[in-house]
This record gives sequence, structure tokens and C-alpha cells, in this order.
Amino acid sequence: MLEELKKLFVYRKPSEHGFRFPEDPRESELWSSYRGKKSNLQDNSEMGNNSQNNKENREDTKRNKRNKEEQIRIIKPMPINELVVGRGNTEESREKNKDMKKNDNAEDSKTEDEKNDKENNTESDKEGVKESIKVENTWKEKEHNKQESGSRSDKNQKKENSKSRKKEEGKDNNQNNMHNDEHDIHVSRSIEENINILRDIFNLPVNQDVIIREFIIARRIKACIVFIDGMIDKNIIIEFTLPQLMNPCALEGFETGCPIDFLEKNVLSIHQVVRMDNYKSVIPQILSGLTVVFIDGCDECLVMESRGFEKRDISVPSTETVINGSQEAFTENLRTNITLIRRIVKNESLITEFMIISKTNNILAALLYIDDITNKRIVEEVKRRVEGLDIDYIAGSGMLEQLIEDKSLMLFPQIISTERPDRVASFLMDGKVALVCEGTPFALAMPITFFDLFHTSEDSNLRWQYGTFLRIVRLIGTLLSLLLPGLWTALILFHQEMIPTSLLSSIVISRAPVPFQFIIELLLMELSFELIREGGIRVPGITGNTLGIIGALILGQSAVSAGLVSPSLIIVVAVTGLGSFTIPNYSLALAVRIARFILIGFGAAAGLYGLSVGFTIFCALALGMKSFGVPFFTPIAPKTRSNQDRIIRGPFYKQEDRPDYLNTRDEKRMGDSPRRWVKSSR
Amino acid sequence: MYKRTLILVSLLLPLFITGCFDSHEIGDYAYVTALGIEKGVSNTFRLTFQIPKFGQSGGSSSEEESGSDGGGKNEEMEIITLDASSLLSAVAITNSNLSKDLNFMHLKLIVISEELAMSDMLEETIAPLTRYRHIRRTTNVIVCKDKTEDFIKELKPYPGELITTTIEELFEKSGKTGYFHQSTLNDLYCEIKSPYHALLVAYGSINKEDNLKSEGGFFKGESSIPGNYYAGEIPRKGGPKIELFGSVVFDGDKMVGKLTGFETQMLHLVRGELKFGLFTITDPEKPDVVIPLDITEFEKPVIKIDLTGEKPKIHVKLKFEGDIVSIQSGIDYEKPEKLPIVEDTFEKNLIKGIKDTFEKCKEMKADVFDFGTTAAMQFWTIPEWEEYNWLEKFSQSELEVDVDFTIRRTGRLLQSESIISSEGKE
Repeated sequence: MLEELKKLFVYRKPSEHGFRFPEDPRESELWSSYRGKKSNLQDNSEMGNNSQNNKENREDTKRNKRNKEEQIRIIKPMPINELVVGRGNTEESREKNKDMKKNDNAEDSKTEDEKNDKENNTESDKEGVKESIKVENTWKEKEHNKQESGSRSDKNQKKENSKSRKKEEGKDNNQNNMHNDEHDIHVSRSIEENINILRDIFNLPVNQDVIIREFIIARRIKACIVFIDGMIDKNIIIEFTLPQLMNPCALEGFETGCPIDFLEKNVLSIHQVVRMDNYKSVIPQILSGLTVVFIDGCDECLVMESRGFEKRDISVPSTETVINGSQEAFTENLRTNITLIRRIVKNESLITEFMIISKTNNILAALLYIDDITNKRIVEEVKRRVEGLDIDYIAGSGMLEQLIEDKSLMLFPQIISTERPDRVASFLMDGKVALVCEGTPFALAMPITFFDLFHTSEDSNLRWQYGTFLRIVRLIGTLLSLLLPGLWTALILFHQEMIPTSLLSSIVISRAPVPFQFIIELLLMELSFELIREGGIRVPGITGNTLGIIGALILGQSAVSAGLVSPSLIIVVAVTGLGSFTIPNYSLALAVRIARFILIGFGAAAGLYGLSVGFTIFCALALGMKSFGVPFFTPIAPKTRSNQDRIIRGPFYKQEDRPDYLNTRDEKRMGDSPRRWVKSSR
Repeated sequence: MYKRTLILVSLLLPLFITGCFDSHEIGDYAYVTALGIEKGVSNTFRLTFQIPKFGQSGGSSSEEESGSDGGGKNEEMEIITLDASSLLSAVAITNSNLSKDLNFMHLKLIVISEELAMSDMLEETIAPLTRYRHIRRTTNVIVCKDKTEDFIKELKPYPGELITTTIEELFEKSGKTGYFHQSTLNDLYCEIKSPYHALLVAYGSINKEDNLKSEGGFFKGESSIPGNYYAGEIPRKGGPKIELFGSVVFDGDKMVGKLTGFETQMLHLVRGELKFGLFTITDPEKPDVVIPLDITEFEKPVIKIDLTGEKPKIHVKLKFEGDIVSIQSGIDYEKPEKLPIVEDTFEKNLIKGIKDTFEKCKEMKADVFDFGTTAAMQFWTIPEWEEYNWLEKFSQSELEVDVDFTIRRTGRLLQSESIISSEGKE
């Protein structure tokens, strides 16, 4: 039962349902004919047309027939390297990819051999078939298929086909593994064909976002530009593309052959133009707001930078406000964010690598590190994790964080998420790796320790005495918000002898009219505090904060006068709340807020003993935790060499070393005498 | 992973279920602040519990909370007295009649009656107290002249204070004036079993206010030694009815005598427990007036004991410095050549006071001076020391006292000037 339910909700690739994009032009013709479109594909000479392929194609068409109702289109991600055209590492990664393909092929041929050896189908195969039928049924139900008879015949067909399909499984897998099987179509020489392919891919008459503008270059050559409305800067097309191309004199000096080279070099005055020849690389570019020019007679197309969508301005940080320090925060736009970081780290070895991290919404993330400082193995590990993602939809850094962190069961954050470019810059300079993701104004940095979560950028901007003072206050706040309610519970319920008698008397007096047990009273108060906090965020507009404070005051006052809670408890809850606001990292603050409730439970169960057991458990969990291989409490446990920059911060010129646990390539932050004007700075 | 969490949760759950039996709401208890023990009539002991009623004055507590008085303004006491064979049986009986449970966690004072102290029953009285989990060993103990029931009835908080604060602050006076000795339950238990010294306990009583005579002529003659009273004898009126003054001396677990406030002060000086205080000496040139001195201990008392002879010879050296607080006679003692007169008088006074106290203790065969601790250093093993039987030898010992007193300042007057009237200078 559970298994079936799981199957319902687990994502399956369309190809697993027998859904495939056409590879062969003929196939695509058939396919589009289902959808009531006409296709004038003629040129199919470049496609592989051996007999085996034809067979496969025929079967594929059958499958396509079955999937008449499936109008869902999945766009698969493309490898990173394709996006970062023009950068140095592209060739390398391309080569890697080729290697991978080769390996895949080798493996597949092996499996095929094995299968041929076995004459009978194994049981597992049968099960697989059953599963696929079940899945198909559920799909059909979902799609409200009215033609039941048709589906039955489909089923029968499927059973028949299953054997042959299994044999070809190797090939199918091969195609699945290569991310880009869907659009692996070469740009055609014929403009009409290209337009048709584009129409196919973008569902054109239905989908009205994509615009194909056909025109004639210098009254001689047919061409078209393709872009998505709203994603582009119209000025680039209106002022700098079309007028120049449509100018009758545009092709002056051009003789015969493919005009693409001539146009790129002489006509188009766009700052960034790249030539591409395959749809798998072209489509994501169109989707991210670039404009593509197709020219008749060329098997390449021109991809022009023209991104110009609406975006938010840079604003003041809202979750990590500081008094002394930079007042810039990230925005939702990736480019802006990277610029913000690059503006602080003006160094040629700051490397930005782009990668697409989700399959369907094609979210772009940038991996930042400083080549001369960062340990290569950290970069490789981050890349390995990000590239290993197989997810349809990622909205931003928050989701990405959950996907690449070490342990998802752990309460404490293992990757720091910050909205401050200056913090990211300092992390990069320490030898950490940053991931900036489209969609959210936060960047991720890793690996981290507890102390990274505990520090703010203000600590380093202030003189060391002030910074240290602030950190001590913050430490007290953190401990209070973690332990105070549990401690109070333990004292009230178990250790009345520890309370000074005068305090005891006032507690007894204030508790006298309260009808609840202490633990219920406490949970009631803590819960209402959390309600105020959560409600305060959701209250629309600027009244939120004020309303929250006033609500808390009035609620507290009336709760006391109504005899629902005791005033001493309100103080405890309020101090706890204040303490939790001192924690600079939002994730850590949430973790402490949750841990607090658990510790209340421990305190209520077994007093101080229970509290210490609970605290020990939390400590053990935190000490055993790792962020990209770095233990959570690193400079302290395990003890490593470190600057005086944990809780107490020494003078800035004494922060000589980069974190030891990162094993950076350059371990020193400063020279032997960082303040040369002092005779003996050491 | 699910399995692991399941195991973890199932391991933790029992903790939450079983642990709770020990937890009690803070208001479930009746907190006893003073406990009186005396000889009973219908059973062995008569026990008196003093329970302050926290916050009995009114329903809406929020307004009383705002002040610093903490509900002690009109704090009423509940006094429960009953005869029982032991403390625990008394507690059990009381609990069955009380809506709350008696709780001794905040017990501040144990009052033992004088009859009980003299009747060789101290061991039986305090044995259950020291074993009882609720009672702290730091609880103060006094011996009371009157019935403990009456004493506890009169034990009232200073206006606006909690009773516990009052008791605590009262006992802090021991270190400031030295007129009575502060002893805790722990001292009581240890000292009655100690081969080093005898037990000393504060002496308390109700002042019936009949010492302050309003009839008869005015006071004449030499001023008496200040503080030479026992509790209950101070000529005063008003203020709290109870007073702690002087101390009670035990030999073993039996009370053998009392010391006055002054004697207790002397004792404290030798023991090094009184670091500063006001002492008064009779003016050496005009005996009907006095010179009060503000004394500070300059060095810790140096005690040397010679055990070689038949009688132990004890030598005590004390060093003080101090200020002149006032000179009633107007004689210019502050002149450098006259200062030694005051210093000598004080030294002599002190030596006399200490020697008198020592003689009194010798008669009671109780080493309340704690000389035994010094003497024991001369023995290699404990059996040797126990065989020596110091407590018996103490009664034969001889004491020599050296006091070195220096006047540092003369107060805010540099020079005494004589009074000028119409008859000229005095």
C-alpha cells in the first residue's frame, strides 16, 4: 500500500512513462502531427539512420501515440559548461562529459550483453513491467482519460512491447543519463526548419511568451530572432539589432557563404555575442532572457546578451542589520549579487562558476571561491554535491542549502546563509566557498563552524574591546534563551530549596491565583510568545513590529490581571525572547527556539538532572556534527590552531592566520609585521 | 534513520513519564522557617513550627508584587505546636491536618529549650535533624531560656521584611558585635563529637521588658562593663521582643553554663572571629565616664601552647589598632605623650576580660576557645591526641595573654579643648 502511494508521489522522468522527445526529424513530424501541427521537415540526412535506430523510432512513435493526452513538457537541464561559454574551463568539462558518455556507453553495452545471455526474462523484469503498468494507470486516472477502451489496448500493446523494451533499456538509460537528449538537435541550415523546431520546443501557437520575429537581412537573407517577452531589454532589439540587420547596406562587402561570421564581426553592435550550434545550449539561453538570431543558410546561430527583466534594487539588510558596517544586502538577481561580492573582493583569482541546479525551472547558481586561497577539495566537494542534484524545482538558496547539507536531521544549521555581501567576502577571503543562487537574496557559505554563526560583521568592524563585549552579551543571550525556561522549570518543580526565600515568597504569591500547573502555564506563555513573534512577521505593513510589541504588553498585562499566568513567569519568557533575538543567525536562533522547548521537557521530567542530561545530549549532537567535513565546534573541539577570534576577539592585527581547519593554500592573512610603523608589532 | 529516531524517542519517553513523581508545584508546600524543640508533656518532645503565610493579604496579587516589600508587609505567621516522639512523626501528624505539606527546605532557625539542653538529650534531639534530607546543615541553632513555643511566637519579622531575611540578618550581627555566637546544625553535630573543643551555642530569650526600671534613683558609681548581660536581661523596651545575647556552653551534649555578651565577645577576639567592634573602657583619670574605642584586628591571634609541663601553658598574642570615638571627660588624650595611657588601659581591660572568661570556662571544663585545634598540631597521630584527652587537660591549663594596641586616629577632633563658661575655663 505504502509502496503504491510512494509511486504516486515520487517524481518520474517522462521517459520512464514512455514519453520522449523526438530525435529524428521524421519522428518529430509524426509527433507534431498528433498535436495538429504541420511540419515540413525534409532535411534529415544528418541524423543517424541505421536500421536499429529506425526500429527504435517506430516503437517510440507507438509510445507517443499512447501519450496522446500527456501534454506536459519537461525541459531537462544542460551541463554547466554549456552555459559558461567563453570561459577557460569549458573545454575541460566538455572533455569530461565526453569521457562520461564513453563510460556510459561501455556500461550499457555490458548490460545489454548480459541480457542477451539470459534467455528468459527475470522476475525483476516482470515486476518492473507491472510497476510501469500501475504507474500508467494512475497517470491515466489523473489525466481523466475518457477513452477507456483505447487505454486497454494500449496496455496490451505495452505488454507486448515490454520484452523488446527491456532489451533496449540500456540504450534508454544511456539517453537518460545524458542530460541533454531532448534538445540535442543541431541547428539546421534552413531557417524554416529552425522555426519549426523552435515552434515544437516552445509549443508556439499556444505559448505566447516566446516571440519569433522573422525578417530579412539586408533584403537578401532570411533570418529570425527569438526571445521571451519580458525577459529582454527591448532597446537592444529595437535600437541595436533590427535596424542594423535590416539596413539594406548591411551586407555590403559580404560575398557568398554563411554570413554569420560577417554579421557577428561587422554588423551587430552588441557587447556580448556567442555562436552556438545546438538547441540544447540555445534553449536555456533563450529561457534566461537572451536573444538568438537564426540566419538562413547557417548551421549556427548568434546568441546575444539582452537580459533586461525587472528586478529589485539593492536595499538595506533586513535580517542582519548592523550599526557599524556596510549597509548593502543581496537582491534576488544573481548578477547583481555577484557584482556586489566582486566589488569587495577585487582580485583576479576570485572565480565564479555557474551551474544550473534544477532540472525544470533551470535555476542558475554561482560557485564562488578564491583560487589562490581555497582548498581545492572543498570546491570539488561542493561541486560534487551540487552537480549530483536531480530536482525539478529549486526556488533559491534556502532549498539548495537543504539539498547539499551533511545531515538533514540535525537541528543546527550546517551551512551559513547570509544576506550581506561583506560577510560573504570575508568568508571567501578565509578560504570558504560561497554559493549564490538566483531567486533569493541570500548567499550560502561553507564549511562553517558554530562561531561563524555566532559572529557578525560588526564584530570585526568595531574595536576589539567593543566587539568582545558584544559577543559576550550575545553569548549570555544565547545561553539564556536556551536554558532559562528549562532552568526555571527545574527550580520551580524540583529544587525549591535553591530559590532564595524572598523570591520564593513572591513566586508563591504570584502563583496563588493561577489555576494551571506550572508546566502548562509556562508552555502557554512560551507558545503565546511564539505566536506574537510569528504573527508579528505576518502582520501586513509597517505596523507589524509595533503591533507585536503592544500585543505582547497588553497580552501580558491582561493575562496577569486575569490570573492566567504569574508575573514572574512573564519576566522569564520575556528575557528568553530577548535572548533569542541576540542570536545573529536566523537559523541558529530557530534551532535554539526549538531546543528550548525540548529542554523545558527535560527540566519538567527530571529537574536539574534532566536539564543537564538534555544539555549534554545537545552538546554531544552539536559536537558530533560536521559541515563539509569540519566539526561544528572546530577551533575548540577538536582543538586546532586559531586566532583569538572565538568569543573573545583580539586586536585586528593579531588575526594572522586563516582558519586552520580549512587547510587553505595560503595560511597567512597578513605579513610578518602587519603594522610596519610599529617597531615591534609582535 | 527512522528506526534510530524511534529508538531515541522510545528511550527518552520513560524519562518524561517516570521523572515526574518527584516534581511538586511550588505552592504545594508549607515552608517552615523556624522549628522549636523542647521537652513535651504528653510525649517526649514538644515541637513548634513557624509557617509564614505568603501572600495571604488579598486576591489580586499583581499590585502587591510591584513593591519591594514582597508580600511581607502584613505577613502573618501560623504557629503549630504539638507533642510527638520525634520530628518526623510530628511532621506526619501535622501533614494530615494541613492542606499543604510541611517543607523544611527554607528552615532558618532551630530553637532548643534550656531544659532540653541541660537534660543530656541533645543527641537524641538533633540526630534525626541532621539525617533529615530537607533540613540544611547551615540552619542556625540557638538555645532558648524560655519555652520555645513562646519564643517562636515572638519571633517576628522586621516590618516590611520576610521572616527569613530577618533571621539571617540577625545572625549576621554575631560577626559584627560578637555578643553572641552563631552556630549551625553542622557545628552542633560536629562539636559534640569533637575531641578538640566544646560546643558553644547562641543564647536567646524573650525580653519581658521588666529590666528597664523606671523607679529608684539615677545611676551612680563606675560604669559597668558594657554587654555584661545574659539574654533577656538587657534593660530595654520596644523593638523585637526576642533577643540573642551571650552564649551557652556545652560539655559533650550537656549544657554546663552560660557566658554573658561581654564574655562571648572576649571569646571571639581570641578565636579571631571578631574582626572589628566598639569597645568601651573606663576613663583612667575620671572613672565615672568612659572612652569608646573603635577596634580593628591588626593581626590574627597567635596562639602557642606548651604541652611539655604537667599543665598546658597557653600563650595568646593579640594585636589591635583603633580609633578614639569620643572622650567624655574632655581630657586631651590625643596628645602623643598621653595616647599610651588609653592604650594601656584598653590592653589591661582586655587581658582581664579574657582571663576572667578563661577561668569561667575552665570551671565549666569546656574549651570553647578552640585551643584544642592548636594543641592537636603537636601530636603525630589521632589516637595519641585522643589519648591525651585535651578536654580534661584544659581545665588545668594556664593562660597568658599579650595584647598590643595602637591608636591610629583620634576621630574627627584633632585636639580636646576645655569648655569655657562664665566661670572661666574648667
